Amino acid sequence: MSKVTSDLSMSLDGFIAGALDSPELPLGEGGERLHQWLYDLASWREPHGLTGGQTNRDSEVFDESFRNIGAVVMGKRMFNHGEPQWGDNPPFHVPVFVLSHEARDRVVKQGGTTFTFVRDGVASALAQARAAAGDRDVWVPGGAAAVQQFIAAGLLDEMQIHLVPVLLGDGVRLFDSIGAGPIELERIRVIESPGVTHLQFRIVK
Amino acid sequence: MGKVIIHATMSLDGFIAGPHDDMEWVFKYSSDSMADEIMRETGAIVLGKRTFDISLKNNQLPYGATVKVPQFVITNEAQEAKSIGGLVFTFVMDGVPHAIEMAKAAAGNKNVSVLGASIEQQCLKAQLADEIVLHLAPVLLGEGIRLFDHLGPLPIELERTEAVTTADITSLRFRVLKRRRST
Repeated sequence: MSKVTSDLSMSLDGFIAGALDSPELPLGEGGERLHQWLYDLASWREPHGLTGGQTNRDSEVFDESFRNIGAVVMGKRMFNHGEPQWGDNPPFHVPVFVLSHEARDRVVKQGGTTFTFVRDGVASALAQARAAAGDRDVWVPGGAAAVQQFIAAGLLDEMQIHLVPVLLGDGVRLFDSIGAGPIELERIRVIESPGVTHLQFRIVK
Repeated sequence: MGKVIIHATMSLDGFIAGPHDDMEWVFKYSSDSMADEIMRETGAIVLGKRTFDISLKNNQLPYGATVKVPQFVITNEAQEAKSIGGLVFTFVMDGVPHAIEMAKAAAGNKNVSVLGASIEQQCLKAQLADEIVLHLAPVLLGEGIRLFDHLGPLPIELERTEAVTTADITSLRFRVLKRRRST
């Protein structure tokens, strides 16, 4: 059975982007710090069309979460912020379903990435993504609002938090407006790298 | 010289208390060797008036009253020192830095534990905290009192110096790196 998973780099104070995020500054003020651990990893560089990079435990962690992805569901904000950076060959290389309020034609990019805009909510987007993914996993990379909707609807199976040792003080909170809990989690793995702590959780349903 | 340590059990979504100051959620998780070490090395405790009031109301004194060290409560109203449950609480009226100073003097070579969201935030902003020790609980509380709130644009860099995992809790210890002056 395929899983619905999410991977997010989060500051210790709970932010996945800095303040004032925009298409020009997709990770907001100071938010690049949260992804610093990724940029020099071979497994991050490869889908981004870059060569070289480190092959260490962090690179394996990123590769593992990426390897079994058959489709992606992302929020409109992530799409809007990301599209200008991704260019003609986005790093997903699978069908991507974008939660949206506006009708828009499907966009076919190079390298296997397609963007389909889904107007009737997370459950519908997930059903379409599951169909596209077959027995591979569906990945919800963000933004925060999309992840919150998946959690609130009980549709997320696992999430991996890459906890970055910094307090940003302000920005986009990952866990905001998910509603009154508690939602129980089960920690399934911890990897302590020098610059980041990878915490993987299963969401208990 | 002892260190000033922010010490809390926090849900993955960043809360140290649930709705209506609920602290019961914490007790379903077991303590671990890092918590024991922190308690053993604590020489004084600083807490806010609100945390103090909630502790009394719920009959849950700091560390279950097992750490018999001087307690400094930051408050706006003058009050005589009180002895409760074998702990002596001194009320400090002239702000967080002074309370930390008094607690450091009382702690000697041991550390000062800072408890309660508001005081912890003030310590971070005033660069009075040397370390942050968090016991990360595998739960999303959804609402309550956030540990890291109202900090304003920072950033503060940390260094993870230790990690301990039990079946449920992930305990992480961070050193607070001194901030460079902004240019």
